[in-house]
Amino acid sequence: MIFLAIQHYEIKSKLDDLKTTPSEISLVINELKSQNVRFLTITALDQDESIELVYHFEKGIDVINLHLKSLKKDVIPSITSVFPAAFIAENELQDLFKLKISGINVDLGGKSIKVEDSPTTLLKPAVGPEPPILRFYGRCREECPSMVNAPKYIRQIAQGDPIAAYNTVLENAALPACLGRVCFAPCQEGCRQEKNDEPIQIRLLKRYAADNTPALKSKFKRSKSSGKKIAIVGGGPSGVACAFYLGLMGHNVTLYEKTSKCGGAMLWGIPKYRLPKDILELEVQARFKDAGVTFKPNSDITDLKPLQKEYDAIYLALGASGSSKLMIEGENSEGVYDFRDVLRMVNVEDKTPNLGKSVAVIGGGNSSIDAARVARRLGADKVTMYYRRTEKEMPASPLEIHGAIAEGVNFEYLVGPLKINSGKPLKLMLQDMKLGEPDASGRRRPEPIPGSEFTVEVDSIITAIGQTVGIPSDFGVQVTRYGTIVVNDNYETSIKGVYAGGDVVFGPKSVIEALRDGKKVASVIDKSFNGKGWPEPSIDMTEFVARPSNLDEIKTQEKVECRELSLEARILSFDEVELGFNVDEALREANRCWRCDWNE
Amino acid sequence: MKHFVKLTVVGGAIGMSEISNKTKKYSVLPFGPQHPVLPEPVHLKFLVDEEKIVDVLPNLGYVHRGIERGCELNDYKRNIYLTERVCGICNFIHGATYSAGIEKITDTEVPIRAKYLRSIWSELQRLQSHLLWLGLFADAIGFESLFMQIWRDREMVLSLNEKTNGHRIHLETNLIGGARKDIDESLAKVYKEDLSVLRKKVEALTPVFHKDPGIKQKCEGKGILPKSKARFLGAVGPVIRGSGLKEDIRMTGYEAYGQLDFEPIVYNGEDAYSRMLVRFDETLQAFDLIDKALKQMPEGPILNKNTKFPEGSTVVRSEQPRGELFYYLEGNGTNKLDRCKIRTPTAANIPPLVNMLIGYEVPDIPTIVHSIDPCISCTERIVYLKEK
Repeated sequence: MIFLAIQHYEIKSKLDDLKTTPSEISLVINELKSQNVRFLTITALDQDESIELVYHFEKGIDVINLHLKSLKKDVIPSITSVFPAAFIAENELQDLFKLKISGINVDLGGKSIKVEDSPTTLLKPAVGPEPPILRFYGRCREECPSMVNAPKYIRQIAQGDPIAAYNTVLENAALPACLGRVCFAPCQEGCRQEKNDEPIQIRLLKRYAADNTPALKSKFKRSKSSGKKIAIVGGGPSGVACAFYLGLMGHNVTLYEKTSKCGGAMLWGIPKYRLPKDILELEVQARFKDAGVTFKPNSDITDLKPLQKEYDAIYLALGASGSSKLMIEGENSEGVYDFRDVLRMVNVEDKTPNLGKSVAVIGGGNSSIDAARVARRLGADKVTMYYRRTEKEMPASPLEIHGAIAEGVNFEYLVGPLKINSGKPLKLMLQDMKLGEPDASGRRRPEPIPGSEFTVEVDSIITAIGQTVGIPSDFGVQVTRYGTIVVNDNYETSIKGVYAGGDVVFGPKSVIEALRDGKKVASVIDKSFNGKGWPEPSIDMTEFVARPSNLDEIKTQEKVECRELSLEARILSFDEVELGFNVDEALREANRCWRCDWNE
Repeated sequence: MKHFVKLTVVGGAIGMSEISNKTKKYSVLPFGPQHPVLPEPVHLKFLVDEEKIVDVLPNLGYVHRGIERGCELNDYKRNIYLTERVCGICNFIHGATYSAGIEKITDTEVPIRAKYLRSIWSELQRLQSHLLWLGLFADAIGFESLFMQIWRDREMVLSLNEKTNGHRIHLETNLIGGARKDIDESLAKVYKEDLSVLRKKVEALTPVFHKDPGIKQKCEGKGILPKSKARFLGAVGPVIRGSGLKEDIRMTGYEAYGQLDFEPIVYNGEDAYSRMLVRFDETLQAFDLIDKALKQMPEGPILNKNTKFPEGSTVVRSEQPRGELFYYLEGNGTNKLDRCKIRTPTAANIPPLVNMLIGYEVPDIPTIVHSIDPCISCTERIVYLKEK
């Protein structure tokens, strides 16, 4: 504490005087905000035609004065989006000095102090102004299957608090660091900046928040033990999410995993250059530690009866464990691989299978592209993808397709496989297709063009046309004809107390949808024990939100390009391609947000 | 999930509300400007979901008095008495802060004894202001006997004021460059005797405020202002100290505070109860500070008359019972000021108040509104400029 000798009033009130203009004020104010100053008040100095505003801020024990000179008729941007406490002072200015201030939150509409129809204060009506106020989830949040509060954590990052942002994501999705790398980011498709083809890069911001959270530790604490025991079968994203939220709600959770590590499809299916496996392991273990989950690796569950005796509830998060077959001749020849085996060898077993110099990949999903990009890294010079529809119908995300093209993967559309002749090299017979009438999924059905058969010679073939679900028959739960488990609205299977979710119910889906199922099932299970359940996604009413007053500037800002590994380095190694944002980039990107969850 | 309804009422500046269900109806509850629990007129418009507060719109402007404009028309020396009328409760501090600003512009050295006198009287005002508030607060939460007891005891401070300069409320012992009155030995003796009696009476209330289950039930956990938000929303005085932040302008050591060696009182509860305890403990601390100042006060002159007219501008701040008081003064070398801007602590505490109210129930309103110690008349001394 500072106790100086008595010399003069208010020791160091030496004024730090700054000057600004209406067009620059938002920049200066943001700069001041980053220095953690406190807003004091605004003094207006009336000079007939023009007006001088003095914004007073406190920094340490000094006062900073910011002078703004303007003509009375000019519009001055409000600073309430940065310093909400200024709203009383700005309404005063508006009413008493007849200034035009744009974007005050809350604008009392010239009725705060004195109005024309109330010559004396006694006659001032006892009703306030009633501007309409709307509050939304935000388009990004509505697009997210798990309703992660994207607007809020973008703001928290903009305010320089990545740890709080990380915890905000955790409220609705259990693995932010992984999502920041692998999520297909539907939020970005909803972003209003998408119109300019430059959405806020929400996924990379999430990754920035996770990268800046030490040891990926959360602020969540396990609540008082409820004494209930719950078994979770399957350590994929859905199982981990369910274990995390159930553990936080005080239940004793045991997670059974068939292999030695958690992660499921994220572990074997996602290449290391997109999701480093140590980060996945670190995050899963951090969640288990937060929630006090008992993890039992290498335990293959084939029968539910012993579990049913021991546990109060069971969650089946088995994932999609099989692959679809091509159903063509020669499919089992040597040199024809299932994409699952290739990815597992590379991602989990650290092997480098020799695929030869030319590789054909059959399929058009995200996994097929992963397989193609992995083949490129394994030394194949010529990698070609064969897909029976066009690029428009391809289920893979456009970003992935562009990434693959950049790495030199060739794409052949409207071709379907007919036959594989074994030998070295393999002879793959293909056939041209054309698009017919739309099928049940809304995509146009490919129809073969007779007589258009042709043959290519390749060293190996990777088939990647889809995953299937298969569960042990001893489980005794009701399944559909596709092998997926039948559940009701509450994710409960035909057996009471046994729940299922994730890929095993809905077929192969994304990580974020698996995490959502895990969270929802956790809530359902807690409610079945008369608990309150995990809070439903809702708007944080206590959070201060305001549209920035310099919206026009923000709209024209360009997106921050993420630094990436050079193309040469990429195909030589399995290092992460995206390098993530640093502090400056993250702040710049986060500040591009319009905050359209507030008052459109 | 995508259905939203236009709210008829604005959310406070600080917490906005959302309506997720189209069929749900909210009511508007006007509170004030005239209301039994409000000592001064302010209008708060509540949007309520049955008993729960969803949204608040504060509306000021019922008592503004044109004091800032008055300061531009008056002789700058007479402004001391005008600024003392900004607030009846802490009138001396307004005068002393204004004088400090003029002294700063005109480079007037204030005698050390005068600085001690100002600190003593400032603390005396804090004492009576906090006692007044503790009584009002007790009344607001329905503890009427406590209210009467505290206000009876507070009379002793008022009679001390009277013994000092003849008025029960307004001290008016301040001049630019020092003080008008001195505390001589006989008066100092009266101060010491009276305050030691009063101190015992206040100390006897310690278990009431610190332990009484009735008070706890009414205030604990009500009107939470999180530590992380307090500074952002601009809270000052006991409000910010009740949220666990050590912010006190007296720590800058103005007047004689630099030599009185004190620690600001801080509570970490973030609720109305903490804010009440901060004020109660500051009441006891004021006794200490007055005792210490009376003991340490050196002999010497009490006034150093200034001869210059103020020219230039300055900012001066001091700690009022309710928090930080802010003056911006600008002189032009004549006997009239160009500008005198006053920001009282209550104006700074209104955005936090709006934030505190949301999410609580209608019966909690008196407790939470009172917990910032609102002084609306001080807040609204806004200038009204004549149209040219």
